[in-house]
Formats: sequence, C-alpha cells, structure tokens
Amino acid sequence: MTERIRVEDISFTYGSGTAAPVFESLSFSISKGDLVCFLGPNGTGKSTLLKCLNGLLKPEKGSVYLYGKKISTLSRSEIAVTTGFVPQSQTSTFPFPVRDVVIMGRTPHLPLFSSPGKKERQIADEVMEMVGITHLADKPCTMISGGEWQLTLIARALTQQPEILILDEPTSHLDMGNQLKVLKFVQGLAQSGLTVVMASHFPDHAFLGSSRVAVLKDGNIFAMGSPDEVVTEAVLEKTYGVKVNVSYFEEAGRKVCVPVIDN
Amino acid sequence: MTIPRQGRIRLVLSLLVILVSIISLMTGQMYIPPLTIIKIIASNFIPLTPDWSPTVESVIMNVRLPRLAAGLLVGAGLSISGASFQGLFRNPLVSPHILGVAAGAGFGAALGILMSDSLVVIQISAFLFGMISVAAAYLLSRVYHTSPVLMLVLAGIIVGSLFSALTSFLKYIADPMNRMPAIVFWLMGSLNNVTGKDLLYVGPVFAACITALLLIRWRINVLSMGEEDAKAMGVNTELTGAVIIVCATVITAAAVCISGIIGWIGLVIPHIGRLLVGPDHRYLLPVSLLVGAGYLVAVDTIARSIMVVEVPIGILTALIGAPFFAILLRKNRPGW
Repeated sequence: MTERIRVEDISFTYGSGTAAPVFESLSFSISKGDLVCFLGPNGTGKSTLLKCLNGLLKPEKGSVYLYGKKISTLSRSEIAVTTGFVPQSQTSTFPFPVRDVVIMGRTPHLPLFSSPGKKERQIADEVMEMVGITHLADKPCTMISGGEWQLTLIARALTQQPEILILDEPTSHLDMGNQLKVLKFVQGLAQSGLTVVMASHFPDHAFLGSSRVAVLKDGNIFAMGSPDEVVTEAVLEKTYGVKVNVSYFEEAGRKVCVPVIDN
Repeated sequence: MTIPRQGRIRLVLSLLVILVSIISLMTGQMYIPPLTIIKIIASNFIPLTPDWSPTVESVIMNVRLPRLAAGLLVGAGLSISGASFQGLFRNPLVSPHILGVAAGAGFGAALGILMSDSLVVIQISAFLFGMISVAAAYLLSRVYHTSPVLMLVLAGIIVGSLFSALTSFLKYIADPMNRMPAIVFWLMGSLNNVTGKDLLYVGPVFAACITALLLIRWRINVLSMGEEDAKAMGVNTELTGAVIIVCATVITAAAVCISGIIGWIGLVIPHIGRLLVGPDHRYLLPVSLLVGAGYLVAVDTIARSIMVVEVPIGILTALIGAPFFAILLRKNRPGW
C-alpha cells in the first residue's frame, strides 16, 4: 500500500457554527514519496488543513485517514510515530540547549515514565548532523536566529523518524540561501521515500522538487496537479489577485514566478 | 559531560538539607547538642539507655521533629509544584497558587475557624476549598473553547479573587477579639501547629504526588514547547496536563492545610534550580525539591529563633524571597 494520507470530504470552521467555514468538502490523497506543496493566499486555511492532516485539529465534517486508519481513532503517540510536524516557529520560553530540543522528537517512542537516554541522544546527533546544525547543539535555543530555530524544529521532527513529514511554511523565517537549502533538503527526504506535505507562500517553491501542488482558495482546492499544470500565470493571477509572470529561467534550470505590477 | 555535574549538585544539596535539618533540630528556646539528637532518634529503632532528660526527648520527638518533617515536605512540595506549573504554563512567573488553590484554601480555613474550634475541621475545610477552587477554575476554563492553558490561568485568577473577597468578608464579620486574629495569623502561614498525626495523613499524599511529578518530568519538557508542539510529538497533553494540575493542586492544598499560606517558595525556588542545573525538568524537579526543602526549614528555623515571639513564616519567605527574586531576575536576564 503506498497511500499514506487520505482526506475524505472534510470541512472546517473555527468557532461555533455561525462563522464561515475555512474550507469545505476537501478530498484528496497523498502517497509514499509524494512532495505535496500547498499554495494559497494568507488566511485560506493552509495551516488549518495541515493540522487536520495530523489530527491536531478535528475537521467538523469528513475524515482523515492515516495509513488507512481513521485518525480520530489513533492516539497522539500512534500518530507521532509515523508523522512528524514542523510548526510555524514559536520560540521556546526556556533556554533548552538545541540538542535537548531535538531529542524531544524521541518522545513518541519512549514509554510514559522514561526519559531519553544514550540511544536517543545518538539519533538526535545524527539528525543534527544531517540537517547541518551540529555546531548549535549546546547553544540555548532562545539565543539562535529564526532560521536556525526553524532548522532545529525540522531536526526535532526528523528525530521522530517519521515516514510522513508535515511542514507549515518551513521557509518563512529564512533568508534566500537558507530557503533554497531547506527546500533542497526536503526534496532529498522525499526522494529517499519520505512523504512530505508542506505549505508555502511562494509559488516558486513548487518548482523545487514538488511532485504535486494544490492551490487553496476560498475554501476549496482551486487547482491540484503537477507543478507545470498548476502553477501557471492564469491560476496565480486568480489566486493572488496580481499579475504574475511564470517563465523558465535558464540559469536556474527551472521555472520562476515573478509578480508584475500593473500600472 | 553534564551528567556527573548533575549528580554532584544533587549530592551537595542533599548534604546541605541534612545539615540544615540538624541545625534546625538543635535550635530553639532550648539548645540541644547534635549528638543527643542523633541518640534520641536512634533510640526509637535500637535499644539505648537514655542519658538525656524526658523533656529533651519530648521537645525533639513531639515538637521539633514533626515541624522539621513538615517544613521539608511543604518546601519540597511547593517547589516541585511551582517548577512543574512553570513548565506546563510556559511561564516562569507562575506559582503553584496560580489556579486559586491558596485563595480557596484560605477561605476554607477562615470558614473552619469561624465555625469550629477543631483544628481537624479547619484543615479539612482548607483542603476541600483549595481543591474546589481549582476544580471551579478548571470547569470555567472548559466553557471557552480557546487556548485551554491561557483560559485556565485566567479562570484561576477569577476564582482566586472571588475566594479572596469571600475571605475578606469572613474576616469582616468575624469576632474581632478572637476569631479574626486567628484567621489573620493562619493566613500568614506557620508550621507551629503541625503534629505528628497530621504528617501521618499528609505525608503519603505528598509522597505520592511528588513521585508522580518526578515520573513524568521528561514530558513537562515537551509540554513546555507549547501544547500543539507537544501533541505533534505524541504527548497526550490533556491527560499529562491534568496529572500535573491534580498533583500540584493536591500538594499545595495539603501544604496550605498544615501550614497556612506560605508564598514565594513555589515561585522563587525553581529559579534557583534553573540557575544551578538549567531549564531541563529532568534535573530541575529533583533539584527544586531539595532546594525548597532546605530553604523552608532554614527560614522556619530563623522564624522561630530571631525574636522572642515567632514570626509568621509567610512574612519571612516574602521578605527574603522578593528582594532575592529581584536580584535573580537581574542576573539571569538573557533567559530563564
């Protein structure tokens, strides 16, 4: 079975009933090795949808299935063993060293009353090496940059050794260089068999290794398919309300999107 | 490596607690030499021919030892509760009283003092109302469907001020010669009324709740990253949060019912703990426990020996705690 996540007809509304739904009747499925990128303007429910995929939020209608099992029947640790989540960064109150934050990812694998030991520490060290933050290991996590914190959160989720990785705007605090590095890294993860779902503000990111792109707009999936099919000038203009030029950029070897201001 | 360092710190603190305890047993209106104290305690387990007066034995066994045990328990309990709450609520300015337990227990005690002369009734009433106020805060927080942790703190403040107002009302209507001073003194906190029998009931409760908090201390680390993050890392945040709240509340209510309201321990001691071993609750909880136990016994020893009349311990912990906290905040600026 290669299907990892199946979403059946889910709707979500914040607050009590009267508010307009964030999205309605969404259905799709995500398979092993997919790198799915959700695009869409601010406030279209990208984060909300990602949180539904991982059971952090409960859809009002419909169901999410993880490995064919209804997510509402799984415990938090059952979900966390297969699914890592990288939230939009929120800083820590306490100055844990970066290594300790990363080790926290082992929690779903630990019995209720135990603390991580040598083995957990070793896994965390390997992941930090892979993500490239070994040099930060002993630094207090309250004293690193936003980008370094983002990488720490990615490392923390990977320490869960998940088969599915959900990232909520993983590049929002990163500079150009680090954005590209993180996306390349995520692409590598997908190529090695990890299933990746992420939300992004930048349509450009869809051309960096995504196997599929979905555009959320006005509570619906406005378009879904391969990046070439979905990320087009027509779709982007309708999605973001500005004219966008999508063209192949020789030196980069991929398509890029440039918003054009219409005078 | 940090592990041996953690062990060293715990060892030094344990020795300090023992030292403070012995000094506490020696000190008082009657000085008793340490050797006699050890012999008196040992005579309970092995047959020894007494070379001390029965008065001395009574002072140790019936007065100072129960009081010492109570000081250790209350200090340890309030500190570990404070440290756990600060982690759970992700706020280093939180004390175990945050959910209204002290205000509720204070009201319960005042009500008990008004209604009855029996210490047991007063203690039970204090304990019950402490639990009731936290339960009320918890239920109130469930009414709103937003960020549960924040709502819980707000609900605690609401319930707390309600009970404080009710306590003021009881003070207002109480007989000003007798009952009112009793309420006022009780609210200031003291270890003076503790008996060995109290400890028999309260001791196991403290032990059970402290053990539970120590067992889940790794998960407090994860919870301190935020509710959603903790869930994503596989923590059942509702259950773990409830265990922490119940344990810390029972400890605090039990502490208030034997010793009145002693502030500043649960707030300040975890900060000293963080200064010693950092924010990791795996180390912070045991260390806070030791520091809190030693600190409260030390302050209690001062409280009953600096003046002819005993100074209420709640006054001293605040007098020492507040300036100390101010200095701590300054030294510890970059992070908690």
